Amino acid sequence: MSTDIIKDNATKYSGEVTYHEVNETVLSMLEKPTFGWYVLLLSCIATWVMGFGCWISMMIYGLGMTGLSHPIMWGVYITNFVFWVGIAHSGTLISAVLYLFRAKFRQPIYRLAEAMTVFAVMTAGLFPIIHVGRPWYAYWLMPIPNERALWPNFKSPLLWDVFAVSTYFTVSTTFFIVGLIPDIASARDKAKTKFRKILYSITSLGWTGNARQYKNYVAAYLIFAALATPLVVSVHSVVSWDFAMSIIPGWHATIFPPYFVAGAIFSGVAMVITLVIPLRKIFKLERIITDFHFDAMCKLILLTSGVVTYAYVTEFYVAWFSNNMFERYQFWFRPFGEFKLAFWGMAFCNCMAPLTLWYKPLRTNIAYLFVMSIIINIGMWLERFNIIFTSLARDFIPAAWGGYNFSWIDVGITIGAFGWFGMWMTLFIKFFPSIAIVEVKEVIEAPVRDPHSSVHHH
Amino acid sequence: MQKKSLTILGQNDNVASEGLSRRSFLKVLGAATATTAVACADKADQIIYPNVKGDATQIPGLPSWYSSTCTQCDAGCGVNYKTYEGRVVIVEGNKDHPINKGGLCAIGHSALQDHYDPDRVRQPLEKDSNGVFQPITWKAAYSKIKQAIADDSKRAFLTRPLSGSLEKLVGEWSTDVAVEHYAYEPLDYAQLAKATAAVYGAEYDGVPHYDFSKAEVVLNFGADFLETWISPCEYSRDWAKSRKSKKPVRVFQVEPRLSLTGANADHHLKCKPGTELLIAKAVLKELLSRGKNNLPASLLGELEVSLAEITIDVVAKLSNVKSEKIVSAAQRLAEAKTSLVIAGGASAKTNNEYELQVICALINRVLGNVGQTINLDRLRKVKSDFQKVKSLIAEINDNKYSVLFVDGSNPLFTIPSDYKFGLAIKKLDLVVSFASHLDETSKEAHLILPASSSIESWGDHQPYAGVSSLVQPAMTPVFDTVGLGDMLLKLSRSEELKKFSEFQDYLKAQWQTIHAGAGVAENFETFWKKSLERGGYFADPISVAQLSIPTSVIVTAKLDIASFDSTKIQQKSELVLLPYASVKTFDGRAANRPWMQELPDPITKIAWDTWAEINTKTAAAKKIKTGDLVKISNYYGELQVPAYVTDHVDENVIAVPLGNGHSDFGRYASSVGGGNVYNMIPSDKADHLQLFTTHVELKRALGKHKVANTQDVKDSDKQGKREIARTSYIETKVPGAHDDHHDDHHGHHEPAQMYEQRIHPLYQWGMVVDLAACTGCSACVTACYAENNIPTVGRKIMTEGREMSWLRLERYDDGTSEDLQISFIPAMCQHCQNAPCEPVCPVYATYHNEDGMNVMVYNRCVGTRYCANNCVYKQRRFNWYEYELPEPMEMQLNPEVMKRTAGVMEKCSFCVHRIKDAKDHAKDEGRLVADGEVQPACVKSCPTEALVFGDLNDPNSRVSKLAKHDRAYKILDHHLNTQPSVSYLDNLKYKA
Repeated sequence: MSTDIIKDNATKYSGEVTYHEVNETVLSMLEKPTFGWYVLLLSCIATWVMGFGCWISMMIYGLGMTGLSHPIMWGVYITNFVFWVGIAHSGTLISAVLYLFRAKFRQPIYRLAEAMTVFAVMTAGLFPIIHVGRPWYAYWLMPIPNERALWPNFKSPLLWDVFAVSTYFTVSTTFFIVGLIPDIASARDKAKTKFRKILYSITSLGWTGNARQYKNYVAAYLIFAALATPLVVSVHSVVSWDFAMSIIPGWHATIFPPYFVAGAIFSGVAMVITLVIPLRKIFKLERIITDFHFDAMCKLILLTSGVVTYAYVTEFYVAWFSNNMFERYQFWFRPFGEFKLAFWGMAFCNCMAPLTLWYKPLRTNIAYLFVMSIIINIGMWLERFNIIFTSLARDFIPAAWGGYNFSWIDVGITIGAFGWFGMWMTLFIKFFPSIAIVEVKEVIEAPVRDPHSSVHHH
Repeated sequence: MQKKSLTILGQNDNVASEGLSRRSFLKVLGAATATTAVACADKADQIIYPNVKGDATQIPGLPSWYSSTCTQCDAGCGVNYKTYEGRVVIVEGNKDHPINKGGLCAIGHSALQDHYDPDRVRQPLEKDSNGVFQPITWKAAYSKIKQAIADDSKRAFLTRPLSGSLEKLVGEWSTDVAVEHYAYEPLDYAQLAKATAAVYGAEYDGVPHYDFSKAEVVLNFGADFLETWISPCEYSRDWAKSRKSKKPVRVFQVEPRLSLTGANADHHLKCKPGTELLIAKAVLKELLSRGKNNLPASLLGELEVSLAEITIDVVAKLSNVKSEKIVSAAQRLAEAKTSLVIAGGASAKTNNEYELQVICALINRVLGNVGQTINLDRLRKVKSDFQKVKSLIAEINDNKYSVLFVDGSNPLFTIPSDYKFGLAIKKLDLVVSFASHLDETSKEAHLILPASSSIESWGDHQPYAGVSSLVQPAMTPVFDTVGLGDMLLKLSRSEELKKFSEFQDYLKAQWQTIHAGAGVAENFETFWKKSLERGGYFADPISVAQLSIPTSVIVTAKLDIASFDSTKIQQKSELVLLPYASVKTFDGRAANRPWMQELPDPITKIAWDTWAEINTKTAAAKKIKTGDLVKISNYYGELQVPAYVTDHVDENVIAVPLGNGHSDFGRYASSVGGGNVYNMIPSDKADHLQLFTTHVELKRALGKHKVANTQDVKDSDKQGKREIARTSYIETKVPGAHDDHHDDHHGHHEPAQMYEQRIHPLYQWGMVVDLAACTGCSACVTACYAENNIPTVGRKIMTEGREMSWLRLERYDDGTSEDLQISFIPAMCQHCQNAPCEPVCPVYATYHNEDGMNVMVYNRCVGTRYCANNCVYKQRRFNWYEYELPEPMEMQLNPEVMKRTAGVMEKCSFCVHRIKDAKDHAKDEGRLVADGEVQPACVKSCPTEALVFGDLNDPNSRVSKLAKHDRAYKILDHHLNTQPSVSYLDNLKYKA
């Protein structure tokens, strides 16, 4: 491979940055927090404390505090659960799958995506517990040997969920931590405070960057990437089975697993964009995260938006083709019934709005992308709302049909979850390198004394 | 092993001698703290004795049953009380009782909540000078009354209509202490009794006994005989017996508002208000012209003159009922071997009710129904005399009376304010109330001596000849109350009455007569005990000799439509107010019972409210939508209630249920506002309380009112092609006989199964619901609340759709007001063999048991609510909150069913505790549970036996035979293969 090509590629993938600049830029993000950072952190904490307060009051007074009712037994919390699991999805996709496919645009964004994954799973995992009637007994879903000789029901998709989500959390966290080691070591070497020195010394696990360590590191990373890849498909497929395995019109559909996976990637990439844009702006990462990366992510969005739209159309087609009156009623009800705003909102946000990204200048228009990413996030939340609420509101027995009562508790807990997620993200960007220094360096030209030398470092 | 013994502080001498060990110190410390705490309490120390030798009749954990009589209305149904450790927990119908034969209506079940009502008066009260009630002793209360009856002031005693020994005692006591006795109830049958006497002879001054099971055709002018009219359990049962037979009775219902009875009729003739009399006359004329003229010639002559102006076309035009419908009714009546024509209900209570009753009685005479469907030997005497009550009010207002005794019937609520009873009662020197509640009437009393409920006192009831039904106390009084009979004996002066120390003795003395008349060999004590066990003494009545058949009956010759008061109605309003009795609150007496308030009205599905049913066109003209608050006003009063817009009332009718709008009475009753409908009714010169008598103005009021309606979601009352509640038409599908014959080639077929099916080695419990017999009366719903400790949640939580009922009475309205297709279907957990709820529960809180039932372990439930989502019948209820009962309502809780905590799912269990009980019994006796031995609460309650429960494994059980009936189907099974254990039988209706 000639140096020119490498240099071209490096320019394309990561701007015209040097090793030094990468180090400086990324590690400068860990410097003394600004006032703005404290404001952000405290407002995030305040938000989730408010949400937690809502949850406490719900535990004291009963689940009647939510807007749920007969027959909408699952609602905002499960919507949030699916939403956050969906967000969690793209991290692993970007880090593991794209790693295996050697897609070079992943390097500067994957760390953030991975962090997002871990924190989003931590957020998602709260919701089933918030949702259940007696959260203090939620551990009964775990197969813990006990004196009551009771065992969970392995037929229940909810139990599969417990395993799918906890496995996903374990693997993605491990993967995340393994990827962080070399960068933490860089931070350790530059750490200015004693606290950070100790923190990084412990978390870098004695990384010195020697060749043996590096070899092992790359091998481990590959293994974890291979392990995590099937989880990208499995976790959201299993989450979709919560619905697909049931008997409810609008839920009981074989298209759900691929549909959910595509939707999850769709929302996850959008969330990455939402997070990356302010970060890039604040920490002046324009030379590391370039238009090229946004363009690539937009293409992923276009692909997944197409898949999701196809799934929506398929659902309607199947409902019509099945000639099943319950399915037909359900899919008439979605666009024209009580929750029609959610349906049309979803259709606009997920199917129509992303179409503008076919136009290349918009794919690199950062302000537009920020707005678009939020639209997609809203759209994907509405998609889950549509699936969960609307299907439950109208199933088989008309006399039992019902609606949803709006509740501030639901809103509080939903917003609180963003605070919880935001708090972890805020802490993370200040304490750990949010951009993979090692991997970014892999795609830029190595600093060699003699630029014409044929020896390359990888 | 260390020997444990309880020592009482101070008795343990060892404490001192051994020195104070750490352990003893803590004991003493604990005891000392406890003692200090106790010393601070205001209650004196009480000595309690352990029950060393238990009462042999009370085994803890095992129920004792007592037979008694329901006193909620005058029908006189037999009831059984189930008691645990001396408290009544369940009321059920007595299957040996000739009137209800096992069923019981919703209000009958709710008697328990009247009995355990937290708002009951708990001890005698006296109003002090500030108008505040202060507790006094019984002794003081008695002496005050004795003082009041010592002089020769004029005194009156106003009660509800009484029966049996209490009626006799009240009569004797009234004579004894010089008190004038008056009986009153708002929904009386005085006009029917008067007409019966006029048409059949003076000796038949009462309500005849109707047998709906023997009639081929019934023409009914508004009588809600499946709801509240005279004896609804009895009539429902007879009606259903015929509906289930090979030749079901065909019912024509003529009324301006669709009642529950009307919804069950085959032909609903929605007429203009007050035109029933015209239609009745047209039918009579039509029948006479068809040669049905077995009347004396003089009477025929009279009728010819008075019916001269009546023609079908004119009547059809005035009543807005198609002439062919009227002709068809007359034709069906003429062709039928047996038939029955009745009139009643609120819509008949116009100024021409008497004449309507006369015409109906004449039609019955013309058709020869007496002796067939009408039994004049079993006459119910009408004791309510509104004419007398009106004169009483007038005399009180003229200061002729100084003392009034009044029982718990709350006349101040039910006598319209225009009769000025409210003014009158204030003029009295002394008002003594025997009411159990601080209701509108007793609030005006000076002295309240709370009477015990009928569950706590002795009594008897003779609804008609041949039925002597006993009321016995099933528990000691909940509060410091005394039975009315006992009070009267205490207050009596004569030696005659004084010789009875308690009312039980008086009652027994009366029953000596019944014993003598019965002509049985056993001695009185045996007879008495047997009667108590049975619930009474029942025999065929002795025929009353007919003296002479009247040959002349006055029938006016006018084209008379009932007149409606329009005093000071501003714009000329055609709208007429129709106050009607609902199965929820009846005439108002059931208003303070949360079960009844929470029970959705079968027609509108509204709970916890008064509402106004308004015709769609009328509402559209005034831009009123369902749920809008409307103001209904006339000169006399005003109501502000939410609107319920429907096609099923006449354009000129605004129908409002009676019974709510209490200002006092209790916490539940007064939580339902809107105004008292009785107070809208003008006073008049008639001798009975006319309910359907006034024009009103209708206006949209400001604001909306969130109505608790369990079926208010758009389109939720249309089942479309879903086949949830099926109806077949008798003309096209001849029903098979109900019990014995079935045809294996018809009926429900289980879909072919891919997987091996579950085997239930011993029992497989199942239910069959015959929709042809289900009236929608909702007794099962209330029975289920009582049996399973289901909490009532109140209006607010109900508007959020969080009612807890395990049994939902679904109402579908798929037709139009011209072509009625209303279906009722009681829906409970279907106990599917392929239950969708079971596999999705992650913790096995719900599972399939060996008897084929889907059972629920509440303590295991985490509350994921997945089961409820996946239940296709939506029968699972989630405890969104923890619901508390005010003291002493918790005494009603059935100890056999655990109370569920917040965050837990619950649902119908087929009354699994009853099944377990029956299985244990059978096992002790080394046999299988017999067919019919176990009945869930809903099945037991059903007045029409529409619900049948039993073992599907037993090919000879009633339920397995019915499940193979040619009308049998299982809801959604052919779509979803859920294999429910509950089968339904198609409803049956006549099409043409």
